[in-house]
Amino acid sequence: MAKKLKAIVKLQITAAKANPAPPIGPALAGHGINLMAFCKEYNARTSNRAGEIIPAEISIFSDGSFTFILKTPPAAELLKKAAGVAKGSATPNREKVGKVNRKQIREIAELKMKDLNAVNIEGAVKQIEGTAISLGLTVED
Amino acid sequence: MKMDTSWLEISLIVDGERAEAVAEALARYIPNGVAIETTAVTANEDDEGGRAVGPLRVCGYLPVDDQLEQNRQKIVEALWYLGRITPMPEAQYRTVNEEDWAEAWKQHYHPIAIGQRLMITPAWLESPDPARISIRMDPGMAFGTGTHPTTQLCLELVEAAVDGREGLPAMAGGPSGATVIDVGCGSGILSVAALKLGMKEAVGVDIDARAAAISLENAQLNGVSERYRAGAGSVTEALRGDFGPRQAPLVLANILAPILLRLLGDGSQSGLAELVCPGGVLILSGILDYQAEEVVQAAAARGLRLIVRKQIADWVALAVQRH
Repeated sequence: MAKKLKAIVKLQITAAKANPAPPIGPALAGHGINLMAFCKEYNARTSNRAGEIIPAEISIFSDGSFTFILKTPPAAELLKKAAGVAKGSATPNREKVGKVNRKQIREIAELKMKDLNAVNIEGAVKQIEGTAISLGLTVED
Repeated sequence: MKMDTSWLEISLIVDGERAEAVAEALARYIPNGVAIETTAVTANEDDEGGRAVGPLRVCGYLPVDDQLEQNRQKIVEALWYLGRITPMPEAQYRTVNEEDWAEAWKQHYHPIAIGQRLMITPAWLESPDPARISIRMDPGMAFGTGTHPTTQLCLELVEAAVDGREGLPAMAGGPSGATVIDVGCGSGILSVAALKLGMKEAVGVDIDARAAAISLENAQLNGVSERYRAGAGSVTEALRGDFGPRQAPLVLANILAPILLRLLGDGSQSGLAELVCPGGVLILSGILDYQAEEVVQAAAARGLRLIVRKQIADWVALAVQRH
């Protein structure tokens, strides 16, 4: 009988710098994952992209084993890059910190499509647009 | 080693659409990253696949220190503003201790037979095979539990080197003193194994002082602490003789390929190769198969000839000998 998927954990962490401190420790140890084994694998596979936020999606199975895949950078990181800002607004409903256009939103949606819970590209665009607004970015036509 | 660091966990249960926005809001004040967990999955009947169903739990962790209240307030404000754009549930807060997760995974750590003679046994269990040499380990939060292919490959090569198998010169009882230098010693698993297999003395160095301390505890647990020294440092400190011997017939480096390449150096200054006595063996591990050739070339450029290449899955370990 095949082992069964038990949980999926996505970690948004910095490439090549994984260690057992939070969020990795508390997120994985409860599932019985060997923290140091995950950290070593993640650091090895992201060592050429040090400094970037490279999410890892870990599939945890009923027998305590796990596999993981690296995902595209978070939409927020891509949006900040597109807008040329270092960080989002602390008060996004009042203070806008930059702009992105619909073409940029669509490009990010296409890049992120496989990682989002969206049925189609329109749904993905809507999610990315929502993230842009929550960052305090104005979306222009 | 007792660990008593506490963290404040901040978590929200949201749908997939809001998860990324919440993660971004948390990550702004939590630089070490955030986790997004499924609250439920549907597993496929016939294979290992499946998918997330229902909402997601987004969580981040702030260290409990004198900045806690200030950082917590910033997160409360960020989430409040986010709530003005899209409805947000109340954030949940709870304190978690490092001990909680440092211990949790141990229930899944079981004895592992490695090579021809070794058995890695968790410190809290008995070895299931008394005929094998038991290496008792409590890895704590240091690298080197014996479960990872990099460690297993390295242990197999240490065993082969000590015994003089697979084309490697026999190390134990050799004329050069049978010393081991373990660079990036982590839990000390490799040094302890080398000592229990018959090497005379071992020196472990690690840039993480906590790992060096854990390795000393593991040496004690295995009754080899009188023959083991460890300290915080790397190749430079070892070459300087900070921990005793400046060279050894057997040198181990189970780290990662980019770091191995850096430690091997370009010849402009002394590196890993100079830690190895002439005729001695350097075991390199933590190398992905696509990186192996570059490491072999770098080692060859420093006068180290490839003797053995071993592989498990896509991990490779190399044993090279100094001219």
